[in-house]
Amino acid sequence: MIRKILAFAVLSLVVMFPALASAQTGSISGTITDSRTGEALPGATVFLPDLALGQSTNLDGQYTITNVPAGTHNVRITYVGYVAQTTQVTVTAGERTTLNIELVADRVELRDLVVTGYGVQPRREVTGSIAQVRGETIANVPVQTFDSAIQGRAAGVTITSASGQPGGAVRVRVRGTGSISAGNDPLYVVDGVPITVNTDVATQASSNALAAIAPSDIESIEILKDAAAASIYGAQAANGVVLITTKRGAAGRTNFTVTSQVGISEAINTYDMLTGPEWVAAQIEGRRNQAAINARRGVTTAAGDPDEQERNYRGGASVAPFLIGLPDDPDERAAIFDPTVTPLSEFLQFVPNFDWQDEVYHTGNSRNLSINAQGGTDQTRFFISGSYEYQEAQVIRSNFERFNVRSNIDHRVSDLFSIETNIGLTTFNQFGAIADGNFTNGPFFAAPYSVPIQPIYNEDGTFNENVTGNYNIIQGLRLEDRESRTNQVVGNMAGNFNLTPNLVFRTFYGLDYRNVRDRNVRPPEIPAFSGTGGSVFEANREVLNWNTNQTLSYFNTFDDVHNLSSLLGFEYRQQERESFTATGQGFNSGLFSRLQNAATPAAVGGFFTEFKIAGFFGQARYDYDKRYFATATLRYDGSSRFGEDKQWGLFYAASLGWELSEEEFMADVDWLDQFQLRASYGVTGNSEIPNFASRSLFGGGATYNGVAALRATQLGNNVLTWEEATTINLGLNWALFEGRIYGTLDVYRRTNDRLLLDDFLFSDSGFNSFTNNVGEVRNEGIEVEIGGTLVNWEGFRWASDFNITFQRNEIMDLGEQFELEPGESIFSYFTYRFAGVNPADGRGMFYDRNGNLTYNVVPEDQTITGNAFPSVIGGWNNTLSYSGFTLDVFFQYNLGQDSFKQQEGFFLDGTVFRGRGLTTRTFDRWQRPGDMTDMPRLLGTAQASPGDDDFFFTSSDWHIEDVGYVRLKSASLSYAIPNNVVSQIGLSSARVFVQGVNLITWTNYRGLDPEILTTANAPFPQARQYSAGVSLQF
Amino acid sequence: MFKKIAITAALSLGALSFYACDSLLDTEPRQSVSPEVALQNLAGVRGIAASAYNRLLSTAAYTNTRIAAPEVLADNGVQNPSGSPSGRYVQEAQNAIGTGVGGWGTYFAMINDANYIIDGVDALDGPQVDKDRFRGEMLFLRALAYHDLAKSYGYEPGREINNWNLAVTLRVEPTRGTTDADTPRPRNTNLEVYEQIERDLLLAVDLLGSAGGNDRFQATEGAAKALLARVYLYWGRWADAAEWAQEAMDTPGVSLATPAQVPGLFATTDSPGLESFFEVRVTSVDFGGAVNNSLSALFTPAQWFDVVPSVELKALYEEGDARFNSFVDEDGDEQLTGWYSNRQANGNLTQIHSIKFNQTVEGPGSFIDNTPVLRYGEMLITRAEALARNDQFGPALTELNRLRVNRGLGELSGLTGQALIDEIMDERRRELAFEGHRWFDLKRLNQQLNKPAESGFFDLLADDFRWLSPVPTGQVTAANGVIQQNPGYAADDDE
Repeated sequence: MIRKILAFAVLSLVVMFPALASAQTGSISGTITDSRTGEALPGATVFLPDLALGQSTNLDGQYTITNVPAGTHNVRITYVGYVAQTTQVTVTAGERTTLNIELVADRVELRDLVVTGYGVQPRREVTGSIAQVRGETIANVPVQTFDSAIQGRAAGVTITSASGQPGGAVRVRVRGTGSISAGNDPLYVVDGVPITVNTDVATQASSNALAAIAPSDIESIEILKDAAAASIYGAQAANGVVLITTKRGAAGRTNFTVTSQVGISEAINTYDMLTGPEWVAAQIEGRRNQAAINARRGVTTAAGDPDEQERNYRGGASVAPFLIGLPDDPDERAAIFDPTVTPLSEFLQFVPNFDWQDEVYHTGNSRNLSINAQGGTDQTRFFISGSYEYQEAQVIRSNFERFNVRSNIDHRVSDLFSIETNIGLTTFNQFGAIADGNFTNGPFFAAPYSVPIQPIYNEDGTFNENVTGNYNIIQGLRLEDRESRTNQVVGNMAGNFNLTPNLVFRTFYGLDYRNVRDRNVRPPEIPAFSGTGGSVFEANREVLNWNTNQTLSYFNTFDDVHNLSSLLGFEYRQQERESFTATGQGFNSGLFSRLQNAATPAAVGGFFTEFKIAGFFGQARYDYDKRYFATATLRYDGSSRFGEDKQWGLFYAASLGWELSEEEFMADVDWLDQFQLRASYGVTGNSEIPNFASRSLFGGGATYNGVAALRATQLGNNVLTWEEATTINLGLNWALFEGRIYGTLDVYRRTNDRLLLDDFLFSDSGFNSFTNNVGEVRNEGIEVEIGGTLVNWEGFRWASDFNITFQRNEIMDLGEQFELEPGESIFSYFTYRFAGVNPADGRGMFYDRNGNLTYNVVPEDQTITGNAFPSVIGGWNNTLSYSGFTLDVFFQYNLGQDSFKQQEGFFLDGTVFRGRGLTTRTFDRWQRPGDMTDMPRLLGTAQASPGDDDFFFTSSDWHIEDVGYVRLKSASLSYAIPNNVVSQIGLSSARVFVQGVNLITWTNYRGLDPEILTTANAPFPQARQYSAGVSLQF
Repeated sequence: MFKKIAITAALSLGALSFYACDSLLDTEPRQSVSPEVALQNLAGVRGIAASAYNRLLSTAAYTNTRIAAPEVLADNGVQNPSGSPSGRYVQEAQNAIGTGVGGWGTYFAMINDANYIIDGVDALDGPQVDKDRFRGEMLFLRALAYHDLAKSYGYEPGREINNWNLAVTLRVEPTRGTTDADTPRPRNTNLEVYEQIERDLLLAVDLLGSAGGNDRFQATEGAAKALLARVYLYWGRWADAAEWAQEAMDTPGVSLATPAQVPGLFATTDSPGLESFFEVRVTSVDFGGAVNNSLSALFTPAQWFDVVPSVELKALYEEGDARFNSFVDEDGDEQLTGWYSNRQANGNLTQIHSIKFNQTVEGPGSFIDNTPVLRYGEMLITRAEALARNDQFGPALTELNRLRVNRGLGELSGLTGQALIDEIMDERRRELAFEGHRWFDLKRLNQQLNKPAESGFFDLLADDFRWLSPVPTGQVTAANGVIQQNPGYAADDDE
């Protein structure tokens, strides 16, 4: 259908052209040059938007456009890396008009307007620390939410995928992590509407509230990093603020953009597992080792006889039933089972192998189509868009499907009054997989954990249900439904009253409404659920979040050099969250999977909660001749979450800037475009605690014997108040050679004190903790951004942007109850210390607190052994272009971060005694005296010797691994079809592209995906994606 | 003109937003109430009582640890030698330092629930009989909680090792605010705790005798009497134990299962077992995640199957014992009947395992079982032991034989003295295996624990410090010496 409309649109444009050509016409010609060097610019586009006529310049920078109707026309000249220029030309019939244009190289600080809280500002005048990502950077990246697309693109912002589920959660941390118990997510504001993330999202799949916004609708993303930038958001700003601004229409001809792409996704990595024969050999080795130990301890029974153990194992229930090609004769069988008769290698020929992981992963498909139209008149401008996206994960039965429409409209009623509205409607559906835990029904854990000699299917194609653990993960994935649908509206309306030419009153109302429906169908065909006849769980959650703000802004210039702008305002926000859940049991078959088909209504639940925030704020900005800048911000905020006596808090910030390059004494230094020093100081607040954390409460939930319980759930704290973040920022912006090279340097220190922490209570009181203001955590960092045009020669251009952040997280004070001491990172791992494998006997050893070797640890032997906080983060983007071809190559990196590999260490690496799948790390085991290795001997039981600790279950730094990585995050190659070709078919531009995501990763980490939050417990890894598409504009 | 309208509109909109600032931040937690509301009438009390009972469904209490740990820590349960262990109870099987039955947080939360009611119910409006019943039930629960804590964290009075006599902190007043909870309170002696338990139970017997109900999923007069008998047995007050065990057994509505009833005794559904004085009612509504934490998942091949009976326990059962009997079926396969099985759900042979918890309440796949806490069989063998230890060998043998006969065994004769006591203790082990008694039975008598031979683990001498659970480290550390750690666990003990 959509294709038809497109074809029709293209066709009608093509048909229109001959009609235009027959009018009275003239022509335009000229040369396009670089304003500074005077060099000709080949491949620049000269375009008459009103007429849809255009031409590219030749190698000498020259162009000619013929058949231009007589009259005055707008001309738009664009060239990659240069500021687009629009001018007018008057064409006389039958004559050639000359139009030579000098384009100015694109200096980043020239084109930028930066969105700040409640307004916009030229980047040059910003004295706070704000990172900006332009919409075009992320528009076509095949990810579902913009937050994962900006990973590595903003200095000081750590973005980690919390789940590789398409549309899954992403963790964003602006300048480290300041809070321990309270939330650390930044405040997200979409076109003025604060939206809630990470609460009440779907539960059947990892989900992300930001999926409500199609990345292709985004004009720009601003991340307000320091107090000076963020304090206008006062009490919600301590974790930084992310402002998302969607696209708006521009007056003029209506422009359509259609982008379509298709792609695939595949697993980046799977575990290397032992094959069936290797696995049996490991099991036998473990049993023989065990028997030998028993024999040394004086055991004279079969338990001390290695051959007897091996014989029993070969012929026992764990192995014999799965062997293939065994003779029928009992005596021959007995000989095969006897290690003294049949050597192991011969026996292993009977052992089959089944690759369970292979059944879990597949090549996922993706499709994406987006259309937008924008344009308007002087009075009314619009941007409307619609998109469809379908993305399958690299694991079976996990996907994401979204429909999105948006309508952004601006209307000028009169010179005094204008109105605007943005409405985004989204519905997306996800099928999810269980992750983030070592679950026997989660694919990332259960598939490698499955026994490789056990078949997945029976001979008749049905699922083999007789597997260790009684749960066939493939059957579970295939038959169980885990589905979530999210419907979301983010919209706003605003009116602007120009009370005087310098005074504007703006009234704004925003709404974020979300409804999430979860469904989990566990059909009776799966043996684990057959007992209850299968079950269906449904949940319905609703988040209603609305806000309003009223602002009065004033701007004036006095004596030409004193520029003053100020803002006064009031903001109010309320959020209600409500849900109910229901479970039904007893279904005839998996065919019936609705609650109304359930024989038994098994359980119901639900909750309601709300909060309110009100704030008064004011800001004044002053500059003297664009040389000296000063900004002061004040905000007085109240939150319903805090103790009755302490609901209101005052937040403030001040910042100064000095533009040295504008000083007269610098006037001669013409290679220096900008040299701006910035300094800021301010206090912001964090209130991200449960809505009623300050009150003494009795709540429900539990029942006993049919009576609903009422239970003291928490003790109140009347003086509970804001957690405060004090931020100091020193910054420098510079640009050289007319912006050919530019950069920023920021140094920050953010100290969070009065932390909202679960403070200790003696549990013989019946309570463990209450929410209190205790403790202090500091984050410090240095952010460096450098960019520039490295090569610009003969039409070949290489632009590069690099950013790196060095960051540190440090506890200043946490009271007395925590094991971590001041000076440590809050992400420290506190574990036992691995001391190697004893080369004599293969036992895993630990250090005790005195540094002595031991096999038995006590809690006091634990110490700091790692840190999950990345110390260096950043990204490097390169754009190479030549004659219509553009290659974008983007690297992202994360260094100096550790992870505790619980999944592998506890269950998969060498844990023979569990009788489950094993990774090839098992090959590193100790085998005979003298072996130097870090993998202990294989054993049939969890303890090396009676009284030893379970080596694998003991949380030591043996499990801790460096997860630092550098990743070729994305690369795309696009080709802009020359304008003289596309204009023939009525298009103003056409681009084809291929791209890839997560292409190459350099890391020492041995797990599935080094992009990990902290502890690795079967997280949903990211996928490698490839896609190809086309983007047309007309 | 328009300008004026615009300004007026703008100003009034602004004013509207500022309107009613006082109530700007009022919110109401609609699913919770303040303490004043919760404690203002009997409806609230009823809810708080349900909360106290519900604590028993915690996995730290009677749905898992309180039943399973005493079996594995001692010599009744061993790690399943074959199959695929999930890692559950590995540490307990070898008595690793830091294991134990524990339950600190759960029981103290339950005690606090009970204290709200014991302290406040009499001041409320309502029929005295209802108030008495609530108070009686909560006194029973508080006593049960304190006894479970006292036997985990301390020695029994008169059975101290190296004179270590601390039990746990007594709290008989509810926690009203953080000031009741932010300063440490020292542990009371075992005698103080036992005396409090005795007082609570005697009062509970009184109150429940006149006002109590007969729903054995909740505390009744019979339950209070039975618990009192158990407490006296632990205390070594043999005559009291024997007397109160008899009192309990005289309770109408509870009776001893006959051999024919033995196999179905634990297959309770929505009513308590025949022998139960007090049974914790478990439903899938209250016990989520049962597949991970239930006793049936732990003890049977339905799920993890980590813990199976030891060889020596199995050997204790005589032929013909209705609790552990076998016969050969028509296919020539050996079948087990009673409280043990050797079959998987699909009929295939597997390790012998306890089926006292076998998903009987809500069926296979639910992993839901009720947990009998106090039952007739325990009272009968308690009375036999108490009589024997009080040198009343004749009456003791009579009670022992009453139990044996009802378990399908013949009467014994001529037993007296230590031989009788030994036989009674063996009988107690046979009767109460996999119900959470064994570890505490050895401990209260200061006996040595001989780990089952097949486990390969070291025996535990009577004076080993691991008989007591460690007080949660965080509590000790934060208390700066006010809350003392049990011997052997203190950080600097072995330096």
